[in-house]
Amino acid sequence: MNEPVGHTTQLQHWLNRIQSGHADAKNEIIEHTCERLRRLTHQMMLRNPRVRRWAETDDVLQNAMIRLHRSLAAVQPESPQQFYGLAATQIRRELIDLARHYYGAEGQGANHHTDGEGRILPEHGDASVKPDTLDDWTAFHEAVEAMPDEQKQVVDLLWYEGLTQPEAATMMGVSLKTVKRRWQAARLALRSQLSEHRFV
Amino acid sequence: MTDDQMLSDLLLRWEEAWEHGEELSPESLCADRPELRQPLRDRIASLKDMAWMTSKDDSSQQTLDPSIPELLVNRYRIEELIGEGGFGRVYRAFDEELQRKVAVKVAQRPASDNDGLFHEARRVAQLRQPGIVAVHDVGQDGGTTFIVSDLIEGSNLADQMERHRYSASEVVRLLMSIADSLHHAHEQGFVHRDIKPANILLDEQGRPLLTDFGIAATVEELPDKGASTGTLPYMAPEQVAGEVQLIDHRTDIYALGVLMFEMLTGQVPFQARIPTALREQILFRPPPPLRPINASIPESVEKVCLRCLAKHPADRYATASELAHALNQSLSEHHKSRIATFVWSVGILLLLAGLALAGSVYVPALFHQTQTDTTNDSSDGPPVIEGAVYFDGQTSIDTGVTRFAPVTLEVWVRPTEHKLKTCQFIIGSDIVTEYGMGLALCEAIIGAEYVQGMFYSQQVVPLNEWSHIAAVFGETETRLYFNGTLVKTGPPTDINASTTDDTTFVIGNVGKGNPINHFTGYIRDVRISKGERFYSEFVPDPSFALDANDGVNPTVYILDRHHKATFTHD
Repeated sequence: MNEPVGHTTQLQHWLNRIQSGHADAKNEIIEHTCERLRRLTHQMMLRNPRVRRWAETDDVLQNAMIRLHRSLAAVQPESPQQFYGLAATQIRRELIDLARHYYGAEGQGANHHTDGEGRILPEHGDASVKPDTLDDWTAFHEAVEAMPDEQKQVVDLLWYEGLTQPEAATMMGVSLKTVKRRWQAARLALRSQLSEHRFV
Repeated sequence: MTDDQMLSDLLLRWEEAWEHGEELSPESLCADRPELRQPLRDRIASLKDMAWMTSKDDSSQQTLDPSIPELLVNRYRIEELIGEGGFGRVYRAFDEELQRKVAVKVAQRPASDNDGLFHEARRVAQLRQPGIVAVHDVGQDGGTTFIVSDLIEGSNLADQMERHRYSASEVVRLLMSIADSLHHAHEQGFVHRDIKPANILLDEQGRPLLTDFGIAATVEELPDKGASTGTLPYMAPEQVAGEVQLIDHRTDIYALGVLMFEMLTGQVPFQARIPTALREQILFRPPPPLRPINASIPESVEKVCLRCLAKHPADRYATASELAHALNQSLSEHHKSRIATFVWSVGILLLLAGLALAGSVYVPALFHQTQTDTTNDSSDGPPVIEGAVYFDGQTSIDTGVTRFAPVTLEVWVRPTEHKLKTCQFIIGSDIVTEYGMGLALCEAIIGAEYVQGMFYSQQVVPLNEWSHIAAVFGETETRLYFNGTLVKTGPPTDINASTTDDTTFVIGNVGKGNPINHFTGYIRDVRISKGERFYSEFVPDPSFALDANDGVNPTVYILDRHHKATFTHD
């Protein structure tokens, strides 16, 4: 399931419609954002069977949708870039909240040992530092949140919102090469943050 | 060019090649800058570590099991893993033939007796009941045995219980609904045998639906007949003992008792670290009383729960419908006793204060307020503060107007609190266990009940501000307006879909005598008028009075800011 081709153009079209007062356009934007949130939540929950049992992703989506709608009701997005920033921030906050809720010191997950260990060992040959506990995921999202704006923006567009690099370049008004550079720098920075989190 | 920029360029070249399936070595990239080899090697390693951020559709790919065909029997397109249970994995899928979303359950292990499974599934497929998830198909593709059922967009009770502590009246309401659905299935000869929170789905409106009817138990049972089925903490003594001849619909009633116990207290009645000890407790130990665990549980409700948990089936409720009835009774008994206690204690206090005379005057007034039965009497009911009627989340006003359609409900409202995961009803008219007809604030948005269900707008109602909200329950649709602007159109109301018309419009909660979903905040004016007052956008009246439009849409009820409820016309 790839992103629909020409999503950015579609988005600009929706934004124009919002600005001319079309209520439906807002819903379409929310749907897109929810679809991203749904995928990312699944990715985060995938390696945590105990959480997958408890947390219906749809519930999180529902919350995110209401929150996002509140934001959109209050703010009329002026540009696709501004909208994406808002949406990605919402997604990230939802994911952090969820991870904290189930993993954090006060989270119920911490007290449920009957379901066995939350951490599943990486498969053989899987050398990546992909977060696999909710604690790791929280650290990851927080590390993104703390990044310099230029890098955060590129992570927002490419990873949280799932845009292509050319789409992100258009959106940010920079060259494709700049997007590639920032994306590379962002991943290197996150890599070092994640290993610090894990091994310290 | 600095070393850093140089490294960055080299890394870009490496990544471009990598994306095209070619791996360039640091040595070849740094042929003329050998000192950059090591730092480049490190960065390449780091980027490889982060490859999970760049792989396409990482999330959706991983949720699919490669052993399951993407298109089952050339018809069901598997989209995404949505759950996992004893039976196996559950996927969201798309039925290409009927062009609709469905849930596909894939058996964890190949069933040894597929004929039996198919036979049972065909039988269950005949079970059509609103509170039960319908089974549409069962089949096999290669080594994969699967069952196709309705896709319920929502969550399940196990998840909700982790997040939300239910009040006694919410538990009773939910269980009544489950017991009703169960009764219909029992009447057709089905016994679920594995009722537990994870098998109770909640749709987007929070209505419970039983899933895995018969199937889960059948599948588990088939490989070795006679083995006990079900999930231990929810299993009845006769299941634990393997007394198959005793297993009938009352086994399900026991499981409902466990569920009720868990929802009310946050724990299952019997807890043991090892299964053998748990079996022993289920078989021989009486269930513990609930009120020492949670003192707020009404005695009448505790009594119902403990009867479900009786060791011998004959000592439980004979039918699920009898249980539903007992649950209903327990709530109204509790309600009555609470009012009586309240009135009694107020009376005592007043007597103690030596105000015996005053007591006889005030007690009836307080009685009315608690019972939220104020009709058109302006002397009692919620207080008037700052020129509006204040609802504290416990009070409501019965308008005395029997619900009807088409009708237009209008209200000036200033909410002071958005409640999470619930709806606050500004005007309601439900009958316990059924949807009513009413106007609600769900989290922050406007929603409406239209007798057959509920729908929501996307309109946020601001806190601490006056807003005009109107609902037109019309002949062909239901329209919701916010400050005179149409914000949502929903299905029309079929008032005959309800089992009874014996209910009235109530201001401040979901329905008369139903102590839930109360509104918190201020209501300045309410108007109920016959017919469809608004078809297009309008400027809301700042206050409600009989007006020129009254010939077409007669006003039936007005509540004004001085808390003077007024009736006009009949």
